[in-house]
Amino acid sequence: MVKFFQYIKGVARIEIAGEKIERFVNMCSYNQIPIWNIHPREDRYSFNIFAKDVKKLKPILRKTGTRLTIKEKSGLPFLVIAYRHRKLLFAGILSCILLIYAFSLHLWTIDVEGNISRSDEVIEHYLAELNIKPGIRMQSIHCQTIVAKLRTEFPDIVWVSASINGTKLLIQIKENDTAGSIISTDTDQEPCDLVAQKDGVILSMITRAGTPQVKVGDSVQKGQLLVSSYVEIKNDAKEVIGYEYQRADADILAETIIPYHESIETTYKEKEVENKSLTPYLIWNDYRITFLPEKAAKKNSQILTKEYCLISNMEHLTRLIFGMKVKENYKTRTEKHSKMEIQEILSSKFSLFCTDLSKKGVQITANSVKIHIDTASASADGSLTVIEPIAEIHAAERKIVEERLDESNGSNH
Amino acid sequence: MEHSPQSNMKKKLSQAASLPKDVICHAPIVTIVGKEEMTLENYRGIIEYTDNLIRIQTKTGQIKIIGSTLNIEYYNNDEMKIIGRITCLEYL
Repeated sequence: MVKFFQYIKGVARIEIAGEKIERFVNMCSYNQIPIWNIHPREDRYSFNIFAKDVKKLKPILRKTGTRLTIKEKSGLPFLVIAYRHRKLLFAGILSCILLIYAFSLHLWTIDVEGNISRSDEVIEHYLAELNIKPGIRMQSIHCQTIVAKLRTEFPDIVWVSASINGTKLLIQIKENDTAGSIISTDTDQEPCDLVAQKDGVILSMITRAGTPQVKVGDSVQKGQLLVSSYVEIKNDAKEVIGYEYQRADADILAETIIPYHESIETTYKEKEVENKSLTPYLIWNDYRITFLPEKAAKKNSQILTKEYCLISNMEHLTRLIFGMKVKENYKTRTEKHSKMEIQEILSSKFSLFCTDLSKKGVQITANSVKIHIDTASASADGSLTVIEPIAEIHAAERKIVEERLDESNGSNH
Repeated sequence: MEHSPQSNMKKKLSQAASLPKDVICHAPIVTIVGKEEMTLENYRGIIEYTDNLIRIQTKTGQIKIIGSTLNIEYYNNDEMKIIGRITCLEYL
């Protein structure tokens, strides 16, 4: 900090020679002229002094009979004097300072934090409707109003904070994580049955709600009722007097068979690149500058594009992208897969299929997939025996206790 | 160095009233940090200054600093700072 002030004020390195050098130093101190870094060298001293104080030394020099030599000048005042003829340079520096000041009066970035279900775009779009977007003046932003309007617009947001940090508007959000599940449970109160979504044999069954209609070991068919939503209400004579409906809930695992078929051609087309042409370009916001003329695409050609983002911190307004478009012309020739290659391709596809099943919670117990290779095509066919959840939710139909109603009507007569 | 009756009086007064001597008697304040740094207050001026010797006039007498590569980092009306290899400090 001291060095910065010294640079602003300007510092001169001075050497004085004469008989009464000590007196000169004492007089500087007496006249409140700060000097520092005093080095003695034979019959002369050298020291630093502020540029504005150099003129004050004249009477002291005369009184002490010493001679002054300026050895070095540094700092802003000297720089200004050296470049005083370069008016455009100073105009540039001044305009740069003014531009920075002018830009700092505007909002440039909106940062949204803590949002999970509401995306940044949704919130930014709403803010844009309120005329809060990059480029507006900072004075026109009222954080309290933004907070209040966000709370009104998005009821699932339980806490919002809006603050201005430099030229950035920071919106911090806390969403109500439980609100969604509460709403969904309210809508899921309709009675539902569980039915089989495919054919299979029941291996395990844990019923939490509803009346089981099948048992372990039963073969079921697609669409068959597994757990019904109603529970019968019986009187002392074991007669059904009504039904209570609920949402059937159960974990039902069944052994099912999944068919598998995958086929590929034994031949493929190999691309052989003949020549390449490179077209560099720049994208500045919506403007695109291409440095070389682009050639029209031919039949057998492919275009590869690589882009490097050079500036992107001004999210919505400024982005500078450097890109390179490589156009490759190629010839095609037909090649044939070897037997080993075909086996590898089909095996990897089958492994991928099995991995996908495992991710879904399906357990594979057996598979009978075999590879058949013909001259034109090759295929992997067979079936997999798996254990998987089989239950599927199905809207329940309400039952009416007709017999009981008929009986009661008869007794009244 | 013999003390004048006035300075003796001031000394006694500062002792009796528990006042700092640097204020009443204008005694120099010498602060030495290690062997290579020294600050001095309450002085009148420099009498002699070379690489190996600095003689400073104070109200109560002279201070002689002997050493090597002695430099005055700053020098103003209130305080001065000396850096370099200090080997000896004498009150004359």
